[in-house]
Amino acid sequence: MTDQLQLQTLLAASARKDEQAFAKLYSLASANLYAVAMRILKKEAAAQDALQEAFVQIWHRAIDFHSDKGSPMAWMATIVRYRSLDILRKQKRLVNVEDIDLEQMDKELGPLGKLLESDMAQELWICLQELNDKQRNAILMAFYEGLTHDELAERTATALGTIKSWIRRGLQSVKGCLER
Amino acid sequence: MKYQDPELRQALAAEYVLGTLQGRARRRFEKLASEDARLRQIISSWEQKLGSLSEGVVPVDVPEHVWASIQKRLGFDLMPKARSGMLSTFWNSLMLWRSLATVATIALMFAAYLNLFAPKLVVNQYIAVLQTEQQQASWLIKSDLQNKRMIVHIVNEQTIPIGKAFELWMIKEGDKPISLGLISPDKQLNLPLSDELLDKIKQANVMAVSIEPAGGSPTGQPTGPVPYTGKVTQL
Repeated sequence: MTDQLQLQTLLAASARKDEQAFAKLYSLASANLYAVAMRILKKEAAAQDALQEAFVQIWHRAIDFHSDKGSPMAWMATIVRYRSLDILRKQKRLVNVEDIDLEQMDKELGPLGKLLESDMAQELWICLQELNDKQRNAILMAFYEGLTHDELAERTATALGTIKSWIRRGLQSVKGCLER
Repeated sequence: MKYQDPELRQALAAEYVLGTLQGRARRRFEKLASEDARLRQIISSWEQKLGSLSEGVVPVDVPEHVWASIQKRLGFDLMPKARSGMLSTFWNSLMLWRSLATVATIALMFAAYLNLFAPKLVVNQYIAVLQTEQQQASWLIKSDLQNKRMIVHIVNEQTIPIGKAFELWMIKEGDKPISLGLISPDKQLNLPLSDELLDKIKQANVMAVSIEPAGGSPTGQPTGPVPYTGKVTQL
């Protein structure tokens, strides 16, 4: 498990244009971040492009990271997700959404311990448990796989309007729960 | 669109971060956020909340050419491949350190450099150059047994997260680390050494710096990561 504090120190050094620190940051974080891109893009070449774009951006934006912006891994992963989503939308999705195996996804996410690295992740996970299964799954599939509303509707054989409302209300509940 | 409606702003920000806000709506929202600091804060708050989900993924090995491309894009000097796999424990990093043959050489080089500026030849000194795993020197610790002082020279300024402190340790192989106190990331220190500590320094093999809560380790032993280590060399 990668130490968040060490990542934070390395990000701070990268902000001062310390190339060695950035190399270390890459060696510690890239496998996790590549996994994030792979989940969304499913294709190695595309995921590698996303990772490359993201790290270029992380180097330039390292100065923007502060520990009050959450965990360094979450911050970097957000950058990777946005780049992955950009690439995904530019290319026609080549993977049939039917192929995405929700059970496999749950298995890969593994026991709670895997997720519970930062305080925020722990709180979020608890709040996600308060949602009903359908709402939670829709949110997790959108997050991890980059599915659109339409794709989610297709994948879960649910009306588009219902999907939209699951996600909107689900996110609202999560926010309410986190603020309690 | 009524973009000032607080609920709508929250909902759009959340779906932007989740990724379900797409296409033209996504671009429009990005443009809006670029001109609206409050909206950027809302987005950032959602990024913190949902972003933590990414911590749960199972890592996938990245082919080496990706890092080469990134270095090329950023115009880095070609450097040795980033070491994969982290040495997280204290003792592991010491083991690594012992295996580095360059250590003594670097320490002596620095000592020679410093002695250029010292009018009298000082003997009976113990020095340690603390380095990162990438062998970037950060501090030079000079223990002067004659004058009973320890001088902490800055070789490269380091950065420490808010609320944390660097703590210096000396270690004799097989024994528990002994704290030499907190050191500054960017200021030279000149500290008195007790006879007891002087004795211990003579026997120490390694010095190391750990990251501790502000005020130092609460347990008297290193509790955080140990990013810097260096072998103790007698001059």
